[in-house]
Amino acid sequence: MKVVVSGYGVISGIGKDIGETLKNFSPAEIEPEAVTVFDSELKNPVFEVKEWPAEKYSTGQRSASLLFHALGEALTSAGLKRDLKKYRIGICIGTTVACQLNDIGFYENYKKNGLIDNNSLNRYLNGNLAELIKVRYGLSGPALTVVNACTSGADAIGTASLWIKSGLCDIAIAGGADEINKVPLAGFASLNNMSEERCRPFDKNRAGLNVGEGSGVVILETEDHIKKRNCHSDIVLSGYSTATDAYHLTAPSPEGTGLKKAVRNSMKEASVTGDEIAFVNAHGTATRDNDLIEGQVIGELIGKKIKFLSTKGYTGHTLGAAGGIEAVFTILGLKKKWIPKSHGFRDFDEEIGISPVTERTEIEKNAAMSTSLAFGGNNTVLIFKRQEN
Amino acid sequence: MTMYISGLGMLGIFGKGRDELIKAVKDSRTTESYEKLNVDLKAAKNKKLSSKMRRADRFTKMAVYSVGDAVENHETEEFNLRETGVILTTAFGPHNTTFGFLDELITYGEKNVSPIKFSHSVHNAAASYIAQIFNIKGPVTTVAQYKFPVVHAITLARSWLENKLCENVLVCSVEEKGNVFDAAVNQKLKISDNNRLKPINFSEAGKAVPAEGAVSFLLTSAKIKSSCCRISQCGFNSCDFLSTDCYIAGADGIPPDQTFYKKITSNPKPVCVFSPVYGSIMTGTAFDIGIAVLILNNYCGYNDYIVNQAASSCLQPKKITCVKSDCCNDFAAVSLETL
Repeated sequence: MKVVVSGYGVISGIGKDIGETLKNFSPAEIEPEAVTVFDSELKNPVFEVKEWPAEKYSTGQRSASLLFHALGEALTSAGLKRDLKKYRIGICIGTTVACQLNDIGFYENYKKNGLIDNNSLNRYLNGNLAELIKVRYGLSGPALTVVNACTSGADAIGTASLWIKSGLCDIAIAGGADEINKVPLAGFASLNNMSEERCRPFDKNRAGLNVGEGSGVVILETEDHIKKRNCHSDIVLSGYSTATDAYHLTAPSPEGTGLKKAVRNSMKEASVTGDEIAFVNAHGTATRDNDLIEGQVIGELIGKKIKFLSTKGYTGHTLGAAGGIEAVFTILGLKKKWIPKSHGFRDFDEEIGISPVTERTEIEKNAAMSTSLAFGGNNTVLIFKRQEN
Repeated sequence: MTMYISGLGMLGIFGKGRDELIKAVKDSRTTESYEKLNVDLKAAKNKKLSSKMRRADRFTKMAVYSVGDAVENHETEEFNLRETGVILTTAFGPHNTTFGFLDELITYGEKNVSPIKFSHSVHNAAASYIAQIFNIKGPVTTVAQYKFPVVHAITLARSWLENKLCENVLVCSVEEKGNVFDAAVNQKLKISDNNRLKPINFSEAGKAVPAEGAVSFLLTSAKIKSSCCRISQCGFNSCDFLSTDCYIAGADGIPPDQTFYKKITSNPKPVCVFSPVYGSIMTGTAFDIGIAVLILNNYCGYNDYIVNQAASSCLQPKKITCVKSDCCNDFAAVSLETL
């Protein structure tokens, strides 16, 4: 059964929609800056979503606001703006921050005064992203929030595709959303994983990540179903695989065990060889370990001449949203037939053995891979194909 | 697709393992009879597993101990643990560790927090421990859901098996208790002041008795030696209500829209409620499924837990359906049958 991508939408530090994202991929002059959405002792640059239309922002629900922004664009592009209730629609969304009650004001108030702030509590209890969408649109299919750290968004898309194949729904809303929050910011700083400048994925002198925020959403459905709606899509989600390293809580397996398995299985499912893959949109966080292992695995399994990039130099690491945002970027690459330069990369790393693209690059082949790695040893791979009309 | 429950592990306020749950059910233990509404991790301790979890939090330990029991026969059984998938399901995750990290932020500032606390506060830390300790290399996913977290996880497991992502799936449900959440529950829902849980009490608003625990199932797509029942149905808002011998309703004092429970208790089939044995837990459906497995295999009865007066009795059920309703009158159902 073919699962097609009938719509997609995105918001991140590089742009508030598809058009702005594509425009800003070219000059790529948006610079990360110190966080402004809350007071912080940390001055490491981050990629915030700025100049957000006020009417689109729900106070205290930043991740949800980002999600609904991207979802609106995705539904419009899928031709699904109205009458959603008449379809069997499942919802699967990945996140990290939105599922935790990591509200410092709430906690301080409880500690000092023993008081529970109802507003904060309600925001949390009403903030489960998949359930929020289900309630807002009155949908009846399965609704699941995936919390696999940085593979959450990619796993949510993969999970939704499985639901469709299993007949649990005809259409699925899937992707990821995450906001910049003090907990991951301080957490990554404690791990010495944050760069003091724009991150440099796969660069010899890479010095850590920039935290980012945003949301990427795709609409999936069966090919038969989209035909019934008299719509069309030329993008197919043709491979999904996920495997764990079973190695360490925060570090990837030095042999890339789980990533290799996920890459191989996804290629098998998609029936593609390394030669048939146009490009890889890599996770590429610009941390020492991630890029080393990921680069080596891509070179070994796809080929040393593969065109690949990391978009973290444009968006920062958007955590649970990353897999969703990067799936949309991968789809854009296939549709527009070009990928932007891997921003931040300058110096070849012999240990990694392959280099990402250093300029806007035209692509011709019809398959592309998006890889995601996460704390906990999760490795997830999505393969999209462009089919000719 | 039919799935088989081929391993079962659990710990809760009643103790650890199926024997202690059977005893609690037979003795008609209820929440007000327990000294504490926390899991006794010292009693649950397993030296072999504990040595691999020196830094792990309480949430992770509960998860790992329950998985340990569910796969205790894996060296002799004909399933491949290495190619097993893991789905950890929870409503609130390791919130005590999250609050511990917030404590560090408040006390020491952003530049001096513990990386260990941070990495353990991530929701998928427990699943990662499970994979590492049991050397599981299949897909590993953590889901956080308020509505029907257990049934969503089982549904996902079925999709994994149908689409051959792995050969077997371990579904592990975990919820922990903590002071902040107890205060929040009390403010939102009201906690019972005598630890008495009165489910299916349509005359007054329910009161919760927050508890904690973990349940793990090993789900296989084929019947193996350790298979103890099969899951014949699993889904949302649809159920073949006529064909079951007995229901286990997930009413647990956390007030849902009671329409569904009113409807089901007017059914002539027996409806049982076991939440007084394990407490108010968002992932309580997992305990209900565990108890259904025990009843189907004749380890314990259910007569003392029937809540509908019009019930016809069925001495040894062959099919039990576990149902859970939410505040919007939606429901989830899992049907289990004897082999």
